[in-house]
Amino acid sequence: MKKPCFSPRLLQSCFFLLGVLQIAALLVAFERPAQAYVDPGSGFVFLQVAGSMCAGAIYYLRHRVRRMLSSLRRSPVSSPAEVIENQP
Amino acid sequence: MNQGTSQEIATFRDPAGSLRMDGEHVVRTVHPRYAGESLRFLESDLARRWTAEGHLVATQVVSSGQDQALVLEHPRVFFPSYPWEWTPGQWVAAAELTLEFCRQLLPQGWILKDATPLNILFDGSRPVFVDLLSIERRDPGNPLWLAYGQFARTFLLPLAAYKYLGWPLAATLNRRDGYEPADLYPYLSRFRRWTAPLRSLVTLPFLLETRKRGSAPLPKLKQEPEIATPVLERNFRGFAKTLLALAAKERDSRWSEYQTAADHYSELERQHKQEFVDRAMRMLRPGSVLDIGGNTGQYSRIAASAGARVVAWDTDVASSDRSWREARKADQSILPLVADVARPTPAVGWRNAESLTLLERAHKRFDCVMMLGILHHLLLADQIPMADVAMLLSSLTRRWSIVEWVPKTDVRYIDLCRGRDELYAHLDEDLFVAQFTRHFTILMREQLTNGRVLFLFEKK
Repeated sequence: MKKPCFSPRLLQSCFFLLGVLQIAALLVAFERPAQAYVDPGSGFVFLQVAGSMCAGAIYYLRHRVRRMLSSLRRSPVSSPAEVIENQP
Repeated sequence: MNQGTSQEIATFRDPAGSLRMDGEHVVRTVHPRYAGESLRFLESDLARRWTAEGHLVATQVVSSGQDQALVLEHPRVFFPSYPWEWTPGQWVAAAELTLEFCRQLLPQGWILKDATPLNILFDGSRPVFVDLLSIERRDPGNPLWLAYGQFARTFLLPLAAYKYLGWPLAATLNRRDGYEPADLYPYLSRFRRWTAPLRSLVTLPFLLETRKRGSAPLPKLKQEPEIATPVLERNFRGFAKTLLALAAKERDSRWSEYQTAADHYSELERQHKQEFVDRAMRMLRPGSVLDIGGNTGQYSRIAASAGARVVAWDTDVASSDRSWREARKADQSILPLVADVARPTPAVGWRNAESLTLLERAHKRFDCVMMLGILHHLLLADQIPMADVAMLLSSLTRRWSIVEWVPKTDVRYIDLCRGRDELYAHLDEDLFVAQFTRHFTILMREQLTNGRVLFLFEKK
């Protein structure tokens, strides 16, 4: 069976965030403002920003978790090979 | 600018440069400020590979220099077409190419600054990205594709309007910047508004736009480059998924099954007609063919098999789409367009000079023009005089023409005549021959057993 990329807890948090976003949008739906001078395209940018923030948070957490796990697996003292590898 | 059939046209909307089409030459001038960036892109492996594969227009540097405008030259695409003449399949293919190109630009540090169907032309059945000035350096810390709004307005929303509301894609002729979510929102049912992909494409953007007022700047987002790039790539996977959901299934129409279901043609007669066209194509070997009333492309494919570049016009979207899909599958040089010879696509844009009319683009562009099973429609349904049809044909072809004459006894002629027999009593083969031989000489004439007559003409 394929190993899941994210933990179930992390996925639950993401779904929760998306749920909050949709509820917020539903609340907005009750308002009926004038539409003559709305900023075209801004809605797409807001959605992209929201999606990118969520995805960014997930990638950031995954990045941190991976780094943490890899540091745990390593021995406390860096081997000479690692020292050479990390040199610029 | 664009007057009569001068075939001259120039772009002016992008401050980074302009493009001038002058006869067979397409010359692009890049402002000195953007010249270095354009040259760097042209020297990249991606540009070379995409050009070699035919996805990106070929470019030759004509002149460049420090603080000077960069002058580039592109080969002219044989028959430029506009999105309002494309079939749904062509729209999706153009959108896919735009997304895929931009996705491949990302890891190289580039991005598309705009994303509209007008950046794509079709070379035969293949879409080609033609706007070099759309490519710019990417901010590695920005996970957003700012051109997505334009991509959604000009590609996704017209496709959504076509799929869910039945709005014709040809209506985009009047919408240079596509549709806004607010254009579609009132016409979608309350349930449909919250289903994918309309939820993220129409409903949420509409609600967020109406909420935002004033002139507050658009939000910016900054992330570490190692986070921003995978986030942007993930966003592109999402855009591609939305596009996939909008790809309408092939539709049938009253014309799309015409070739197989036509009861006024027996299998033998259809075969006879195909043989006539095939024989004419192998004898003449035209380099370019226009198939007026191309339907699902049966005769276009015969012409393409004989080595011709084919453009096919038909008013029926489903038939043209089927013709394009077949040509795409076989990689044949056939460009089916949704176009009406009796109501040709007009020039649009600023001063009616941002695009060429259908007839300007077609003027003396083809070695051979075929009008199979279309003449009686022009005469009876569109009420075009015979002399005008002959004159138009003469202005489109450089040399030959294949025309099918449909007699008064034909069931389709009777259908179209709708009891106006007296009014059209003068339309007979003698008049047809008299009018057409003013411009052409007859090379071949063959009568099918159903009474229809095939003519091969050569221009005088």
